[in-house]
Amino acid sequence: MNKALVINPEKCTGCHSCEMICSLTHDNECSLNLSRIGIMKTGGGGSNENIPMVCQQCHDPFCADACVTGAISRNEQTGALVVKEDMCVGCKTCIIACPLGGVLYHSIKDCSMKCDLCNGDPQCVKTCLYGALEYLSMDEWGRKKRLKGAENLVRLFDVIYK
Amino acid sequence: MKIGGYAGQILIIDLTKETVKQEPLDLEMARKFLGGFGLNCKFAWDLLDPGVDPYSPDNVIFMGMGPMIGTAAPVSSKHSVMSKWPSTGTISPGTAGGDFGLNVKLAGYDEVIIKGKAKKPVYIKISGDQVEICDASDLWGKDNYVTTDRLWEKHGRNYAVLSVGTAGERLVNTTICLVDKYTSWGKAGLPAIMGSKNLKALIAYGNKSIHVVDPERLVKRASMILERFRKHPDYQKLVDLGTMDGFSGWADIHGMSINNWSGRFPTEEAYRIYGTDYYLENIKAGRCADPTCPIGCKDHVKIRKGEYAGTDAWVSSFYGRVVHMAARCQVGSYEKAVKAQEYFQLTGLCIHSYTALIDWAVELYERGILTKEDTGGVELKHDFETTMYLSEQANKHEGLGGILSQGFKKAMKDIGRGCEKYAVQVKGMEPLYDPRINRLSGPEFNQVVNPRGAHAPQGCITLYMSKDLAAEAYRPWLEDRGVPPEALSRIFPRPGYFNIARMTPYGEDWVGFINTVGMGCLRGRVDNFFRGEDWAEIYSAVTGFEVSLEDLKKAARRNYDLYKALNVRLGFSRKDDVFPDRWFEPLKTSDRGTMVLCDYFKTPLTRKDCEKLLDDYYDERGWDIKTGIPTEKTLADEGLEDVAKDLKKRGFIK
Repeated sequence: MNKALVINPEKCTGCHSCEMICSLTHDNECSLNLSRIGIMKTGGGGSNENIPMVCQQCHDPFCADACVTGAISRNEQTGALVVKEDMCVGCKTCIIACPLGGVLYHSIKDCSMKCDLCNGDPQCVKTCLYGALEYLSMDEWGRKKRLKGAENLVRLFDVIYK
Repeated sequence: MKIGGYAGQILIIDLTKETVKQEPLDLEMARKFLGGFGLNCKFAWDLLDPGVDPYSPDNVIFMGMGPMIGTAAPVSSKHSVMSKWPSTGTISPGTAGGDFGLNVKLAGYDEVIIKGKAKKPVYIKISGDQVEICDASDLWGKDNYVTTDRLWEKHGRNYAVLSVGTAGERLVNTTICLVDKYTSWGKAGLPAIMGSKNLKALIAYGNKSIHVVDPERLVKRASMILERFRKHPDYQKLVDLGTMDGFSGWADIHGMSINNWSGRFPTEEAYRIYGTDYYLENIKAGRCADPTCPIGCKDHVKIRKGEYAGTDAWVSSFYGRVVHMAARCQVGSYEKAVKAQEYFQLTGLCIHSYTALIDWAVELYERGILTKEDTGGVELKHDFETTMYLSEQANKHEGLGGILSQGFKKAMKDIGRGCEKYAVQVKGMEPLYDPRINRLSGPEFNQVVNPRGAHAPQGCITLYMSKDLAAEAYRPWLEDRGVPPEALSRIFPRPGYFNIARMTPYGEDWVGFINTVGMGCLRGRVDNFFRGEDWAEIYSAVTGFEVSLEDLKKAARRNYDLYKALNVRLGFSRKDDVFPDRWFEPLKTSDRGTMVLCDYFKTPLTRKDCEKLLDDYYDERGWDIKTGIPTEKTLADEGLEDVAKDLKKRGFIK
């Protein structure tokens, strides 16, 4: 089972480090628009208001299904859905099809772009010291989510039984 | 070769003529006058009439973004603004983090120059090549939060918003702009200058990119730096507490004077009311960070319970603001401290500046210099009610609060009656640190010599180091930042001692430098994770111009001397670098006995000793000891021959 790029919005401070490193390592440019991951700031930008949005590498992907030229295919080693730039005709159907905004348009190369998990070594995760981004196996992720749920219950018990 | 780091354009906006012009950046000039601060100094020197009235349409706002902003370099966020400030009359910089600089840079501009005066309220919208002057009639009269929310609603949350609160519209000087509600920019009256230009806000969205010449080299160095953060034992604490990490330093070591520099805030009370446990449990709501900063220092705070439950505020340097509300205003509770902060943020009143004026006014009232006739029948006390009363008056620019809100320089004249004797200020700006409590280290000394006024962040090197370290502990930092051996022998003339006046210039240059390339400083704390060579490496990797630490240091000193020269041309000299009288009075504290002004090594200092330190400081900087003005030789050595010629022609250099 492949690892997943996990987002923890409650830890995101909106610092844009992931966007800068993503565009840099893919395009030698730093840019919010060329980044495959995007911090969506909502409200005042405080707690739980900065949401990192990135492709979730669907098991049954809308983007690949929608692609008429077959330009989006899975890298079996990493599980990432990757755009073959020379096959992409720029019809943008994949962008329309993705419900999460996981696919964007590369304005310089004139083709679709999306997270490719940096060949199994996502740079955004390395640069996020806040822990808002993690690269975890499904087991690890599940365990972490459960643990967090348990901690929430403990806090709830504290309130109820105090 | 495609240039790296620099966006390559300057944006010039004339509000009178309603014109917008994009001009190419002169790269040679940008390299000589390094970074946002350097370019601002150069443009101010060339374009700003020294005698200009700060409120005149001819006053100019210079905004410099710095070559590292908009790249993946760690902590590359600080953008710098320069203008002639209404509260002090100096031409000096202010820095901010937040997303504004990032977006202006990614929109394609290294520098934004704003002049003139709009006929009616406007805001400027920057979106890549599209720059528009838009109607702001429906925003005029609205506070910072409403203004920001409305602009986000209209143009999208992706825009960074630099806004003027209600006080700035009424030309209140002790004000500050907000970026995206939380970061502050332009202490000493940027909002008032913008208000005088009928300019309510700037919004920016960066849809372009910044090229990096050697990405691999940048990523390698950035990873090394991030690793230092990650491995630091206090890393998580810094993230959790933000600037409140400085709390114990304040409560235990540094302390903060109270009752207008006549006492010290008691340690026990600081812990009882403002402790970090209470902050984490009842006040903190979230953490925000400036671009690429791994230890965000901006706070989203929310009061959970009591009378003010539900109060939301976004603030930068939260700790400093709590301290001011706690010590200068003595509001009495955490909730009241946050409630008052919320009001300051909404109106754009500057917490650093205006709380000092409140503190002063209360003493004037207690001494009978101010009476109920002046206050509108209200008794002035160090409490929440007085703070809010005077702040509301300041926001409306009326009554006593309105007089105070113009800053020390004008308020001392308007009140008269010998009030200046009790005003603790340098060049019209309030100091932050009390050298009787802190002893005279870098920040305390810098408050006296900073051309901006008593502004502390420069000369930061000794701030976050324990006051109990041996003298030699400071040597590695100086060596790492490239201070030459001959200077080190002057700074450390004998074992177990350093001369703070000779050390401070290197701290000032360094902070000036890191802010100018775009690095957030959070004073000493962030800098502690960096090495001097990091910046030469990062600058070279990003821009493709191979530089050494030595080159960068030279550029930093050139910037600082040009900054000084800008103010020399206004008539500032040694006569303005004055240690406030009150610092020479003993400070009676309730829990630490009596404290007097002394050096780092606890040797008491008289005014004469301090004058000697000023001699040393000017000498170390290559400035004339008698006048405190850079000498012709110093300026010429830095390639500022034209500046020297101008100062000579005007009679400032003999």
